[in-house]
Amino acid sequence: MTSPDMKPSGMKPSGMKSVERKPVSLRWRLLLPLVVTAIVISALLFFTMRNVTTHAVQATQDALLETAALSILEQTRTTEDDVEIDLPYHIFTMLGATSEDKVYYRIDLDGAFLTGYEDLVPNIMPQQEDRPVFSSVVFRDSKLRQATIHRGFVVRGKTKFVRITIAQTQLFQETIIRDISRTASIIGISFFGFAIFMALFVTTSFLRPIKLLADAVSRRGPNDLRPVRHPTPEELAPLVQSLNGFIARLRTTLRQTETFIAEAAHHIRTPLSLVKSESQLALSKSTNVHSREHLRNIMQAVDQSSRSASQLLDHAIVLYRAEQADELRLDLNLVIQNIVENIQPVASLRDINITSNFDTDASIFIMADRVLVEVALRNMLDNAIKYSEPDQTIHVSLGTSNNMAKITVRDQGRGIKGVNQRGLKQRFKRGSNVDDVIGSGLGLAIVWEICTALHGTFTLKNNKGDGACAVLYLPVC
Amino acid sequence: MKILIVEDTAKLAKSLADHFTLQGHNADIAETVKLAEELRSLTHYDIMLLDIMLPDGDGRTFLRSLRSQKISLPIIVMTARSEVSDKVDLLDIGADDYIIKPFDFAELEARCRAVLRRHTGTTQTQLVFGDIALNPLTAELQTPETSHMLRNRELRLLEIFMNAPDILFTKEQLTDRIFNISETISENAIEVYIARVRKKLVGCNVYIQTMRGIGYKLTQS
Repeated sequence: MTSPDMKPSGMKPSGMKSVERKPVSLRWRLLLPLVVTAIVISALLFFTMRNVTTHAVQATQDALLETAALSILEQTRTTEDDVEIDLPYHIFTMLGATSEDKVYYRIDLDGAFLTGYEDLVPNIMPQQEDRPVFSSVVFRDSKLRQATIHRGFVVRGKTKFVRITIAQTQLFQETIIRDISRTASIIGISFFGFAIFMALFVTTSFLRPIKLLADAVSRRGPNDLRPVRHPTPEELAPLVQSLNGFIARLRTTLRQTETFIAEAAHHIRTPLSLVKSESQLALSKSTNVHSREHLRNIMQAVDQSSRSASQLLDHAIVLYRAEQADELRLDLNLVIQNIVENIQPVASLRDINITSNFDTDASIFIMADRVLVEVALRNMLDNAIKYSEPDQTIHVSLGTSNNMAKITVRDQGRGIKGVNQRGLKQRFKRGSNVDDVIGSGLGLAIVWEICTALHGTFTLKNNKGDGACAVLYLPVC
Repeated sequence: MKILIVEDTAKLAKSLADHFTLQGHNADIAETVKLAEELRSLTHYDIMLLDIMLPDGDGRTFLRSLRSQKISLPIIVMTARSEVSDKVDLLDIGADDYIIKPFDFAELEARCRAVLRRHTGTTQTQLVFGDIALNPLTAELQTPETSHMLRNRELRLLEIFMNAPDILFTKEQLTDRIFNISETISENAIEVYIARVRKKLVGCNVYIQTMRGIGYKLTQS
């Protein structure tokens, strides 16, 4: 049996996706309630206006219909044996004056149709005299507002009831309601628009301190690990405090890493140094052929291990600094000249010339970590020196090609064999023709890693004549 | 050449000093910054070899304080620390050059020579024997008839001979000092350089004498 929280390891955690749902952004958390509120208020505003207007217009029409019905009743008189109604036509004129609305009427006497439109159905008989009853009806496909009123007249001791029903189409009312609705819509939409604008403004102003804090932190250089002192509202103080705590911990860790690399270098190189110098001294004093051979072997082993140690440390530095990305605007001419100058004594020990070709008037600038560029160049030159013979020349040149700085190190040595472009990237991979030269197989892999970290490219191929040609391309700024 | 070696690893300091003494130079050792400062104020040195990690302080702080006192003594820093990242600091605070441990004596000498050349120009004392004069800093050989610019190995070879005229050097001794130990060299490689130097000494009263089966010495006719 497998409990729900103990899935077999091979099973895809399908439920994980819903758990890892992206949290709703603060902006949306703020904006959404404000927008919903704006929508509700705008709708309420619209419907309230429309409702009030409808009621007002209807009340006006009802009042007019009541007046008209009462006017007809006022014109009703009793004669000796009957009831006489003198229809006041001006009433109909008054009702029709404001619009194209049609007016219908019907007069009943004691429940029997007397005059008017017989198919107009009266409202139920009002309970009190002279108090109209209103209703909305459909008559001849038109919507009507209808009022019915009645009054009793005594004729020869007997009460006769006159019922007046008067109705009017609602064209004018509809026109007014339509006009008011349009106005209400405009007001509603305007209010909505304003509310949205205010919501955006409030959201932006609310999030502004967070954005300013984020900008202040992201503008910092990769090595700027000072505590954040940016002024922030008190609500953000806990965030800034924990950020500063994190920065402090990171600073300590980085310092420890740097110190570790330096200490490791010291502890590896110092004893090797002693072995090497003591061996050199012993060699210069020794006359015994066998001892000399042993000393030579020791020194070669020391060379091999110190070289490997140097390159492993270089490699650690490259990995460490590639993460740090401490980019500066570098004058490549200057960087290369410095490196060439520093490595010159090593080359001249073997009577190898280093010539360089720079256009000193036109500097080429790149954005890169100076240490990384120097390590790459040093390794390229070191490689060239290693495989050159005395009296050969290494030529270093700097130029540009397709918006990339092009650093070329061309030697006249033995060239490369058995290593293709892909093999360059592999650590501890060496050419098939270099067994007699001390090397770790890390040098060019380091150059390759640096070039990847600096978004450049690196190629190494044989020259048409003798030797190899290493080219490093780095993006110019 | 008088050299001050500031290095706290006593054995390394001593072997460096021994090497320089063998080369005919004077070398003093200071294992602390304090002692280095005392020695420097008591006597004149041509060059200082300075380690970074010292028991009573950081070599860089010492270097910075020397430069702030306007002391222009040539200084080569011997660093075991993380290679180039140190270099940026070191040159910025006034080191003339730096060398990474472990190093070849020959490389150290070459760097000393390059730094001294920058500092003193061509006024450095020349080595004189017979009618030839050699300036080790500029690699210029003066003969009665002309002057030659020597390549590095020719210079070192002649320098060895001129520092100890009439002294016999075996082929092996010369090979060890001229060639890098890591290089694969043929047994007769030294002969190539002997021949080159001989060519430049034609017409002088000084020549390289072959002691068959033993070695070579510089002698005056």
